Amino acid sequence: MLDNLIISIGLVASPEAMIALVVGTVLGIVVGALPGLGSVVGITMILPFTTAMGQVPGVALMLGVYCGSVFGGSISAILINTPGTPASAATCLDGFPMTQRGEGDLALGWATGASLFGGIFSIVVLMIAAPQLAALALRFGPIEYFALMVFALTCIASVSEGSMAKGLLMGMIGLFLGVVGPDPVTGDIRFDFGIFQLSGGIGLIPVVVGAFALSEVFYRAAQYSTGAHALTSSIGFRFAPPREWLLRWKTFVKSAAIGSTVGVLPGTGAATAAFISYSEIRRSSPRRQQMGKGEPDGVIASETANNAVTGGALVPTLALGIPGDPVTAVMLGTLVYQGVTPGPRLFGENISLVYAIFICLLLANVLMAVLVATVGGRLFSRILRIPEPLLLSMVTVLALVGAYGVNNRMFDVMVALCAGVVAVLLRHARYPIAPMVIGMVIGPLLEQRFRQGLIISDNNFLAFFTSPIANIFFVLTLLFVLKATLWRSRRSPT
Amino acid sequence: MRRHMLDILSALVIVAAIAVMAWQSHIATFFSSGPGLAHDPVFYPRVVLAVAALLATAVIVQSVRGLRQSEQADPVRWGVLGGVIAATGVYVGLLVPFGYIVATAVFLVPSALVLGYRRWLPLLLVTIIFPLASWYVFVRIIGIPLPTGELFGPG
Repeated sequence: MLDNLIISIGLVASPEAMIALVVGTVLGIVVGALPGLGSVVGITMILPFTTAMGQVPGVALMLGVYCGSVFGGSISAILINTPGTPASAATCLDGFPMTQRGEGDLALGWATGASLFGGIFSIVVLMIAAPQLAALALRFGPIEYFALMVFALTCIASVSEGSMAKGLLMGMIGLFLGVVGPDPVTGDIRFDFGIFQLSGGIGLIPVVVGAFALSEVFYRAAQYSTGAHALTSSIGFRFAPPREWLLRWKTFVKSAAIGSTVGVLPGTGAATAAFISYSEIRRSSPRRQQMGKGEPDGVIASETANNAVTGGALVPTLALGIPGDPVTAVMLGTLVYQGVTPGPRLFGENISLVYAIFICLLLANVLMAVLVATVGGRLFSRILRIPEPLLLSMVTVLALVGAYGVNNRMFDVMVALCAGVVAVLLRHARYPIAPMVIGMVIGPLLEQRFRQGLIISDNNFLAFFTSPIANIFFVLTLLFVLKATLWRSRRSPT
Repeated sequence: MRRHMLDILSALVIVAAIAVMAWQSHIATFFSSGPGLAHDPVFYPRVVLAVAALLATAVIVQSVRGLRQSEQADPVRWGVLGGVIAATGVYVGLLVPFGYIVATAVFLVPSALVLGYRRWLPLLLVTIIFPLASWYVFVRIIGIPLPTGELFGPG
């Protein structure tokens, strides 16, 4: 093992690999921070370059972009309430209130530390338990996935401020938006109203960009200037004192475990992991009363989990050759192009490359934290010095361009604009927006697994309760719903 | 307007939208079928719509109950809101014919003015620098093609 490790260190320590890692991480952070763009855009951007590079430098470039882009989404989420990627949507819930309070620099510190911890935790998981976790993932069929998605939906209750009915209603609207377009089993087009562009469904990114970024611009424009929404400039980057970190160790570990586990399951993704983690921490944290109002636990929960997905998602990719999401699918394709065949035999036949991947992932996470702490945090925080009307106008442009950039079509821009207008009206009527995004993230997966489950069980609904794994998730869902209901009834007896 | 009245109105709009979607699910015809497909493509959406209708009704009932002691809804600058939305709509409309750089430069001035910005020199600088710099980042560095403008020939 030691010999292989030394060989791997030698491979990664080459100037070409190190430059690729730095360039990839910087590019990833920038792409992630721009609203609408994300890991997929970042990875596909650098794809042509990887083909001309060696195995390890190519992998280093990809992993740098992957880690950087997942983290980068949190920067715009914290500073301007605009998640760069759907995976950072949950970060807005507490990150932006911290910025409004003048603690944007501190929020960036928590997000960076949390991302670093989540990333490293998932690498350790990947190193120790990749084959075993891959085997566990294989035990998840459509019914087990359906149960997991039902469980994930419970986070709607957690993020619903004010009226629970309004939060759940918004969740249902999100679920419905997810069904527009082709049926996941038959391919029949639903609810397209004869509009050709709707036949492919409503894109998640335009809706996220519109519902968060544009609605924030419209909402602030609509408010009378009371100073309540004015951003307090807090320039720089700041880590909280060590005592604060130690106080929150359970939040870190729990969120990293959730992120790594969800990441292992193909097709779930970082956004789902972030929302499940946020929901769990909101239920269990001793500081849960402050969550949603600028509590660091919220930032930690979301950012630790979404970065822990990066290592987790590589488990089925490397150990089974099954890509978990579009990003790992592109990475898998690149590895195959480079002459590497991911699968159970990879760990036996090309262990030096596997170790090199672990080291690259580790270095990418460390680099990401160092870059943000030294240069990035200071640079990004200066955004808040821009006068608010100019900043809001530029956010509008970036949000719309981000929506356009996904598929290079104007229809997505119009979807983003419509989502922004509808969201600002709903916010005025005090409907929470996050549940709608959760519904849209989880909805397509939920429906697909539900329909598949019905097919394999010959339309027997009772079959959903025969799987032990599924039953565990159903019981957990029931317990969490009961707990949330009791907690709310105690808080507001009327 | 009172807050609870706003809740009732918004929930009624949502109920109306649900009714339109439910009607659409009934008039749509689906030809494909396959083994084990006892439930058609609108079975799951109908379940979601039914739950949404129940929740919207719950919002209405809650609001009717609280109508008497309802507080006033937050005041809104409808004129400014309408102005910003209109400016954004016009910007979206200008993107294809005029291209990203021109449309963005044209959009930034009225948008910032509607939002209350009155310092002309910084606004002028932003109007010139931001569209060019962001175009360079998106097109040259990231490789995302932005609209070049139909009026200026094929891009």
